[in-house]
Amino acid sequence: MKKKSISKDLVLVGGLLLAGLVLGLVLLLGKKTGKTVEIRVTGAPTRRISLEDSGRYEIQGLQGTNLLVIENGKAHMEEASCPDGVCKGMGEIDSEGQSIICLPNEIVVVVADEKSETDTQKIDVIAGGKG
Amino acid sequence: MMRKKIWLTLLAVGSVLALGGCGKQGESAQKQSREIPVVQKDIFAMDTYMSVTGYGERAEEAVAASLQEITRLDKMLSVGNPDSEISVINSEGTGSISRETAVMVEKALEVGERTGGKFDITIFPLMVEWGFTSGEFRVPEQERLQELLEQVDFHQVDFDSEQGTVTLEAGQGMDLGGIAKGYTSDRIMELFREYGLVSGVVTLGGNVECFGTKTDGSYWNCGIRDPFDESELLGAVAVKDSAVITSGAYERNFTDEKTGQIYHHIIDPATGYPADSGLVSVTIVSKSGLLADALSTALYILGEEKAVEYWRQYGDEFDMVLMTEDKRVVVTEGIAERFTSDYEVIIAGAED
Repeated sequence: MKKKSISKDLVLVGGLLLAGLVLGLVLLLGKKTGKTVEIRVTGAPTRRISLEDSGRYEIQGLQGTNLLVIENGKAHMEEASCPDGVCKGMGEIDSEGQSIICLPNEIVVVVADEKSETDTQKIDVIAGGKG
Repeated sequence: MMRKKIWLTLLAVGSVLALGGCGKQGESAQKQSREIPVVQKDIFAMDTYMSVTGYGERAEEAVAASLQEITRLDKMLSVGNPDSEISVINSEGTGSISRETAVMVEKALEVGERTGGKFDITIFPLMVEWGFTSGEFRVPEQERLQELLEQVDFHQVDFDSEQGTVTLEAGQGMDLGGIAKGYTSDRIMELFREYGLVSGVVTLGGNVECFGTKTDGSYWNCGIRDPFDESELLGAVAVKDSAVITSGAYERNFTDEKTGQIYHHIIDPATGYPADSGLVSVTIVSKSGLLADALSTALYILGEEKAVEYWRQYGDEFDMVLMTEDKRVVVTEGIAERFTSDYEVIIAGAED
């Protein structure tokens, strides 16, 4: 009898551990990054889109329309109405503060994260850029 | 700690400030009802992206005035605007300039003189030839460059500061693009002062100028982009009432599709080709944005040794942070204590 109860305890403990592990994994893997891209046109924020919301988003800029594509948690500029198309070459963005800038259409797409406020204590402003 | 994602901070600052500046005040306004009002606005001008942030009771007016000032100066100085003072001089060979333009020309000529011609406002025809003014990049033929170089010499510019006129030699062209942003941020600091702001900061396409300290009295911690990794910093310098202006080969460049060679926009007036001085980034910290803008270009072209020599002579006007191709970071002693970096830092002093 005693043996049995020990093994039952073991099963229980083991089961709990396993359940905890599974729960932990689910929480970890399913964790939302909370990242969004903020879209600004002529300097004014127009909308925010979560990087989890894959899709194709048209942005009406100063002179024409650009197409922002979000997939796999990253954003890139797929199409741009301007002739130089520099912003299409800026690649994918997914880290806080990374940006895609389209000068002719005055469109800025930046990755924002509400949780990063603590880091503002360290750096206030950055010198040097695509200038 | 420094070489972490710099961007998160930049943006976090932007978004925090933007919340203050865009009327979304709601709960944050209640929480911080005794805080100093802050206004942040962005603008596209001078071919780049600019952001102006002011703290003070009259921040709204001060920032609005700053945006107007940016637009005004852009119109006045742009070589892309055929009616600008500079365009008229370029097309007519001569023209009168405003008092403000004269201040810029005077400083540009002074830095040109002191750096043995490494800063030259008559480099403009070469910038056009390389396509840096239009974005239609190309590698010019060497003969063509030699031909154009003959006209590149700021000594031949006839500048009459009394009359406020500039006359160029035949074939010459000028551009104040290399210092216009520095002058503009200086002007914004003056506006902030006029409106009685307590604090503020502007970034004009990577040029930073800070007004006073932060509202809590601490210095602005200004990160400097790492030329070897766009998402990192090479270091940060704590400043107040200063411009922090960086020139780097990574800023405006293009890759020749045939050879794979990268060409950047800092053209050496002596060779007509992008400067190859062993430096990859030069940051100038100075009370004057105008001076900092001119020096960041000139000292980049001069290279490490001569830049340090220059600083030994004129170091009362500025300090600097250099980064070399072999990843050495050199900082001058005036800001050494306020500079932090994950790289090994060499401090340049008044003596060898």
